[in-house]
Amino acid sequence: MKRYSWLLLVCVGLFFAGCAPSLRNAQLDSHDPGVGYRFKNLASPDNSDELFVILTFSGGGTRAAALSYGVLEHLAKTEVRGRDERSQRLIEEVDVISSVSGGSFTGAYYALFGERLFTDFEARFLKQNIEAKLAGQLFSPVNWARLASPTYDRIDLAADYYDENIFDRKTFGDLLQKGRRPYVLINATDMSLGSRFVFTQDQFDLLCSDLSSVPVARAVAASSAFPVLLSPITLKNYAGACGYRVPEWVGFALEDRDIAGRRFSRALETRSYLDAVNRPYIHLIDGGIADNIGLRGPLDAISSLDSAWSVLRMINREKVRRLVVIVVNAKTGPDTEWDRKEAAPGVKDVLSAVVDAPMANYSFETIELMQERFKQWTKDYQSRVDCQEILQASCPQATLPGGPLAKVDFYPIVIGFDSLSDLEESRFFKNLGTTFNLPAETIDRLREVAGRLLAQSPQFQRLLNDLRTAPD
Amino acid sequence: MVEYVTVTYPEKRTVFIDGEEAGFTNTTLRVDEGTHSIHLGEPRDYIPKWKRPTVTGTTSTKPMEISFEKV
Repeated sequence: MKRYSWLLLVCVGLFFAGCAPSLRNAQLDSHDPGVGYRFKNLASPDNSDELFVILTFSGGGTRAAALSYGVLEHLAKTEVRGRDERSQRLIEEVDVISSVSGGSFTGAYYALFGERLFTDFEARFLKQNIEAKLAGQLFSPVNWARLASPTYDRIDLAADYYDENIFDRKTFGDLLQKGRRPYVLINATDMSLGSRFVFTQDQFDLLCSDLSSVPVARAVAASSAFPVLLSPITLKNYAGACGYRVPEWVGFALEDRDIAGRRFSRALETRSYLDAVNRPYIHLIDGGIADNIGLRGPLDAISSLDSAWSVLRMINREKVRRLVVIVVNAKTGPDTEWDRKEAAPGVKDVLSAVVDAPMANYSFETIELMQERFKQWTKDYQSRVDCQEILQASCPQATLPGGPLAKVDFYPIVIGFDSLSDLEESRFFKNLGTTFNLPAETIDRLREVAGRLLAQSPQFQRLLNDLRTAPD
Repeated sequence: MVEYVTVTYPEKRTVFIDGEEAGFTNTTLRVDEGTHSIHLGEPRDYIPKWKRPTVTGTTSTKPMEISFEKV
């Protein structure tokens, strides 16, 4: 009987294989930079560019989702002086959210549904046992047939579950139709390049693919597709089919390997997508592999004119006066017994160290890079002001070469468990697992600590003080 | 690495770097290190039509100067 059951299952699987869903990104017929989910296509009626706020939400399962939720809650309660002296909540000034893995659930939900986040996200996601729900889908005989198809995998099952039960089947077209910031950057990792892949129309232009019909849930699933546990998400590459013109900077950067390595590397990545013959499919895995805090994209936008949503362009044009970057990093640091024992750690422990250590080191370096850049820019600006003063003291008619340099005040704010002064409390949070199932009281503690860490951040306090005292 | 350039022209004009609006003439602009195409867009009442400098080794007190003349 058992043998016949298996036979029946295989037959059902083969039957459904032909009609299983295939690749879900449609071809773009004609490239048009004026349409699609891009930063420049989102309005900001109540949001001042002078105060430009970027949030980055790290990976880390429900722990990360709850921590970023707590930061949004605090921003919603924080009033600042906005346009025309009106009181405005800081959450309304958020321009961009760049998210990874667990943080992508919160970022995408807020971008789609706004402050409905605070009424139903806990019940729909944070306090749900998502792992049990996904396991239920996996072990449901209904889905075995779908999973038997070569074009339907475990990640598709997860994406479909998120689509139906969390994101109400909304697509990037719906996000665009909303037409308002924040611009959400859902980060995955291109498995072949090991680099960031962001669900924006600017990225999809390279594939000649239309992002607007892609479900937001699918991007979130790709962003949180932890290797091995979940299969990669696959996109079809239609490059060459839509009349896309490569940005000018790419050609220049390809000639500048020796003087601008990062720019050269970005150009190589960009060019690789244009080769649909050798890369007809793009496989995406968890965004945490390329950058677990979602900060690299914003850093590129802040310090490069090449970015599709270059903040540097806005700075040069004197649109941005204050730049706030809030990094919500749910990094843990679990206690281990490894160094108390002579015996070498087992395979599971070694694998854990191999995966976690490089991610944590890279995140640390990325945050340091941001801090150093902001300090350097501030010094550069001050050098110019100081030199001008010294020059004019001895020669009143003299001016420095070049014209005025736009002034920007930077507010780098890092929210993480390392900042907790209470070691027992810090230990509690740093020992939370990366899971999509946390107790309700732990969720509440994460929300509370996020708000507290933000309120206590010296840079956040400086921001609030400057916003209260600054002249127009 | 951020570099500094000033695009000089007798009037205030938008500066296009690598095909995108990137700032204004006669101000100090922050740019990526490397090679760029620079012009002033429409109307084309300037020479040369465009320039292609490789920007490296500048400072905020000594930006690279890129000049256009009005015709």
